[in-house]
Amino acid sequence: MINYNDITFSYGGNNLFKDFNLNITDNEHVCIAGRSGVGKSTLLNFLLGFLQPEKGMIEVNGIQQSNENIQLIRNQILWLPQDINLPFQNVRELLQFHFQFKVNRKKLYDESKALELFAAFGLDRSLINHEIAQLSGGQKQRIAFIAGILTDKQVYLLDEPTAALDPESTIRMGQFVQSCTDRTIMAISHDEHFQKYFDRTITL
Amino acid sequence: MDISFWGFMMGLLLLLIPCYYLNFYKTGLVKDTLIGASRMIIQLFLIAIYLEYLFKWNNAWINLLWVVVMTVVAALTVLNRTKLSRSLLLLPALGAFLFSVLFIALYFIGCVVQMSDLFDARYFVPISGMILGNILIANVIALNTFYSGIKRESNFYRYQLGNGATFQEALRPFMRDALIKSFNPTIATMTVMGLVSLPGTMTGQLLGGSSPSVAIKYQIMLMIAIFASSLISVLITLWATRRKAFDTNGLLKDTI
Repeated sequence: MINYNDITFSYGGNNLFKDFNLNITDNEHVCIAGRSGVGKSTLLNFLLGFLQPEKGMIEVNGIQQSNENIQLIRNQILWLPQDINLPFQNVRELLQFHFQFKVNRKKLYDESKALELFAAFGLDRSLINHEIAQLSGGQKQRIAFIAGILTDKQVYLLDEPTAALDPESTIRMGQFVQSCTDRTIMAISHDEHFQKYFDRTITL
Repeated sequence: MDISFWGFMMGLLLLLIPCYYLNFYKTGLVKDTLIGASRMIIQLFLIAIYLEYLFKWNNAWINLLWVVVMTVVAALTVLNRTKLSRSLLLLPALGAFLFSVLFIALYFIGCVVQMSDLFDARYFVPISGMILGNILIANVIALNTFYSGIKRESNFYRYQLGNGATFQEALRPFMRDALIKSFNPTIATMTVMGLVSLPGTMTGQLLGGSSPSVAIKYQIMLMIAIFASSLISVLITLWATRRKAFDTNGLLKDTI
């Protein structure tokens, strides 16, 4: 469950949010749409503790966001940013990277599951042996998504996950998101073909 | 054997060769070279006068004060060279440097040379100075690599935090880079020492009349002391400065 309660925030003299409220229930899939600069990514940044609203309260799965609790909230989240620089040599290194974090240490890296997800996203299995530098932007983003999925997080935050994808890959991404019925998903996307796979779309 | 006035002048004449070529290729470095060399000569002559008195007095408190002054200058120099916030980071850097210098210098004098007077000016001042000089270089490289890395790769840094990495875990790749970049040169120097070059301490002792076996023992011990103190100081500096440099959500402050 994700709650944004009475959020107020201005940036560069513009009131981006004024007493903004959004409630996402457990396992609900919500897409946030809207023109550039309206504050879509800002909503994710509030949740991750990268930005502080001037007023209001944010809650994730019953944990009220604060400086003390931010780690507890981040521990539950898979965040897929739009632009990622991944300083890894190869794909396998990226897939295993999240397992170095304390929060994931008790979980085991499962390569067969990774390969199943490669197939679900329309990625060639041989990519697992490739260098990161050989991948396209869309491939990198999908593999980063798979790396996060392997760590079994409860909440997915996806920032423009289809921006670098062709229509066929967008459909696969949408179908995958739709199949995650036991996950709470909040995505940012202006892609109408992708939005239709969500329970609801909110336009800012 | 002392160097005479005319011998000293003859030595300075060697500067004409680099100055000629720096001028010939219009590097714009002649003025800097002359200013640098002049500053070095004046500073070292002043230090020589000061050290004469320091050795004559041989007072532990004055020696300690001298090392503290050198440490303050070193910490300020590191922050100036790295262009990091002096007001936020001076105290942590100063504390880190002071701890590393005193710990290693006193360990060296007490446990390795086994002097009864730990603050003896002839040992405490030059050994601390040598350690500080190397700490300075290692810290400039480490701080630059660490903070510029986080600024340059802020996306990746945030990506880690946003996916559950703790503050320490998210910093680890940047710590690793900082250590690699600042210690690779020292490791390379140790590897070829004695083959490619005769190091400064050893050369100085040989010129001062020590036997080669004494000279190499001092050189080996000093290299290890320098390596250890540089590593300790870099780790403490990074640890101490990051407490001031990041906010409670783990993000680098804009003022850094």
